[in-house]
Amino acid sequence: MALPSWAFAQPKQDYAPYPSARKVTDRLVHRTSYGATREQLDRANQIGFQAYLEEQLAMAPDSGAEIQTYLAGKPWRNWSLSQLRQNENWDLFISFIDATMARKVLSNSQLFERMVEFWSDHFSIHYFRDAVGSSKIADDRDASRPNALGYFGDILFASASSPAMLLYLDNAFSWAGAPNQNYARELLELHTMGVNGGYTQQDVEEVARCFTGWTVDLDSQSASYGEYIYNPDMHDDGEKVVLGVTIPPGGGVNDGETVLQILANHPSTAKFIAKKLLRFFITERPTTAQINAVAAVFQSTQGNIKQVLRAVLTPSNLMASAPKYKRPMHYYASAARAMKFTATKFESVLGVLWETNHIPFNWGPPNGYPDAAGYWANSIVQRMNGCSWMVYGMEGLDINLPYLTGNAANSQHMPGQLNRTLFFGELPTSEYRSLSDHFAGRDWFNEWTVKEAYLLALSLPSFHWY
Amino acid sequence: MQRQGCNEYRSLDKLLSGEFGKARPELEIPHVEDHADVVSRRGFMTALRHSGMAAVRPEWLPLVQMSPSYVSQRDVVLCIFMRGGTDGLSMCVPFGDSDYYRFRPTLAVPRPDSGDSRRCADLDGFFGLPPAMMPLLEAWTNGHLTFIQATGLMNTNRSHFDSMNFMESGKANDLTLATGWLGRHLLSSAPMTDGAMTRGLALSNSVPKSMSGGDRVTGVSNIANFGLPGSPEEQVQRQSMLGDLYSRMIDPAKTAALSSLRTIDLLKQINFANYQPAGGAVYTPDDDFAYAMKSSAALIKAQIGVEAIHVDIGDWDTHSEQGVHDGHLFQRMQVLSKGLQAFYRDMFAAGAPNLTVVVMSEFGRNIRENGSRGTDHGYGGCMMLMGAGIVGKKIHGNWPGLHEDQQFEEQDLKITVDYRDILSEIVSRRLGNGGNLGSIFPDFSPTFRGVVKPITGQSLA
Repeated sequence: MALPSWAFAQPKQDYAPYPSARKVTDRLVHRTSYGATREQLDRANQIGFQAYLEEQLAMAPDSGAEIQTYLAGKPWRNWSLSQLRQNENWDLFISFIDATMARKVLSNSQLFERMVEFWSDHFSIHYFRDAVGSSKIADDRDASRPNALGYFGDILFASASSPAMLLYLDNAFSWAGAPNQNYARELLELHTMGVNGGYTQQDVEEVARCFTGWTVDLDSQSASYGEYIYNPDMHDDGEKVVLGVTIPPGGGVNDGETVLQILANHPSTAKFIAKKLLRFFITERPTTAQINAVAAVFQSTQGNIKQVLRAVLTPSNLMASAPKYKRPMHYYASAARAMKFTATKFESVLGVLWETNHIPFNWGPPNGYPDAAGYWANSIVQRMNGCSWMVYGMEGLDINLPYLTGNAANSQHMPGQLNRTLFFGELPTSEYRSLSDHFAGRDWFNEWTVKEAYLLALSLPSFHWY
Repeated sequence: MQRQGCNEYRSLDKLLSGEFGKARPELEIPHVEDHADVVSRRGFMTALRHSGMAAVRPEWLPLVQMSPSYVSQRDVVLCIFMRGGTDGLSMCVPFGDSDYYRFRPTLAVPRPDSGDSRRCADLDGFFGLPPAMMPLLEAWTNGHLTFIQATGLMNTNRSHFDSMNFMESGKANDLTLATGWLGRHLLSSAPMTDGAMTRGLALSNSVPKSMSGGDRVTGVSNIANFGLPGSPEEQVQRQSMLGDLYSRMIDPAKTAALSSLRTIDLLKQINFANYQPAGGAVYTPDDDFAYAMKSSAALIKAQIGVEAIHVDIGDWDTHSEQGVHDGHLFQRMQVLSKGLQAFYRDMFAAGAPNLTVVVMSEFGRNIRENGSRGTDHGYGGCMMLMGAGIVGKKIHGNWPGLHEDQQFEEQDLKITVDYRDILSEIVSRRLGNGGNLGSIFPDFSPTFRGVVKPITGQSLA
């Protein structure tokens, strides 16, 4: 019996699935997108690191003909909260997720989309909690997206007055005399200062008092049905002290706004956001020096997100970056981008996202989907199987066989072809050799060979990291 | 305050059932079905050993040594979660409380002495087993089944989402706790079997909240075809190649991938396709819950190191036309009790196994039936335990009564036993991890209610 080659594998050094030789401009493209494409890499290398970064920072949301065409068939994008509420149903949710996935795959504004995802997790809202539902669609449109590359104070305010957030964290049901602390606590712990940011239980209680009256119009007969309203009858108008700042009585709706201002400018907030952004783009374990450098920019620019991103996405940070594990949505989006699907519908991807527990806006706790390899690595088999749906065909996703085949004329050509289309020539030697062994001596070659080859390549360790 | 009712849950149910989106391609995707070719690995391992190459054995290959006889000081735990909020008053009928009949004019199960053909069976003179649950009477009679009444998660708002979330996390009102009680139990205890490849298995697409954060946990929707995609004839080759590559990968991807790949091999060894239930057990064909119970029995009997299993059974959200006598709820209780009966016969055929089954739901339902012959989201509910180590032939708990002045918020059954009291006692007395209760159920001091006996070394099979 001939032993397979792997039986003789000697114990080897662990390898990181990240090409250490990858150039800084290429790293920028990989880190600021849902999977690089050949065109994007060429563009970045043509205009250079800084120009590419600036181009991405300046690019309008939903740039590109493909995504524009795709979104044209989504009427709910312009619906009022009242209309969204009145059309609350399963199909609306599916259409929203479909558009979200399409934007990740098709939009040219890749860095923008990455930041939308970042804020969606930072100000995480569970679509299916209580009365949240389609108000999350408005939150995405009115809070996350317009401010994704704006000022932190603005997105914080937009989130605080977003009906979806008010419903999700119960502030809509917070009255004077019996304030609900749910939102106040998460505002301090998750949205701004961080759990060890230096606030007390007393601060949580005072912040909760400040936000009483920030609620949602839940009268379905009302013209402002579903919208944020300030209800003075619910507000506690007494004096409050938040983080040592006295808020005089009679402030009404200004109490909450004052709190948001204090929090947006707090040094703990700068550090907390800096650390999260570094984790998102650079490494799961940023150094104190890295955090301080980014936090300083955050403070000196009053939370200008573009300036902060310039401080995060520096050549030195990128060259020192550690491998990051693609979360499932990122993984599937990167497969779709690299394989150049012709997409008329992404909703079928919802099935595979479900199997890997990563449907957008479907994370229960308010802390957002985890940004850690350790959490996601368990569903590797489900990931691989999800890809089989994509490779063999899903409703609305058409595979581009001529592109995937390229000039490959036999099975032995496939490792090289896969290295070109999926890995841009960066496939680690060990994986390349394994593919070569796999296809060696195979004298058949057809459509299924190509599909299976892609299926196998998408399962390789390297395709799961970026 | 306006709440959206249960629509969100019905949507979730749709998600859970996986009935959306995924269009089946015309070409059937190959699955791992025939394991005949895999058997040769044993021969291969022998060859390796004889050739002196065992030292270079790929580290992703299975580690578990199957032993024909097996003695444990701990129970395997099987957790069944009834999603949707089960009506505990229909499942464990308080016929001794006359208010039950006052508040449930059409939905009450008649008294055992009523002569009505829809009557319940008397369990202890106060509670009864409804006709739909009759398949469980033999386990009750043998002292292997019990209920805990008026239990649940305190301080909730009747939201499915919050209640499931907090109940599974093991801590009320902490939205930031991402791991579950069962996961933390596995994380804080040594494996029941040395070198176990998979300790916790959820028979669903993903690891549920209760098990998340656990040591070596995996979600497997169907143990008969958990495998890599692609053509069947190349399965072994593909898995070898990926195993080899992942074994050289950095952690956590390495450990997680190897654990999943080993689980594939682990499940192949069970030969589930040819599994023969014992004790004349009949698992209802084409029934998801029965299939999950059959899978559980096969997993436990195979003794491959799986010590915690999670199974979901949904559709308990009976807001209208509840149908306790012959309708929807009757069918759900039939599915549950028939599946449990088959599992009971299968597992107990060779004696008393080291096994505890926990059946729970996120909350009970309103005491009063509503205008559409259903019941809305409530508070206190019931739990069910099955096993040789339970204290049987009695209903546990502290019945608070159903009268207006005994209700919770003027509408619901009170909770007199925190559900964590029950789980803590099981973790401590049956799973041998009482020393870590503080981290399994944070900020909670349990009161043991005497629902299970301390474990003694028993043979599993």
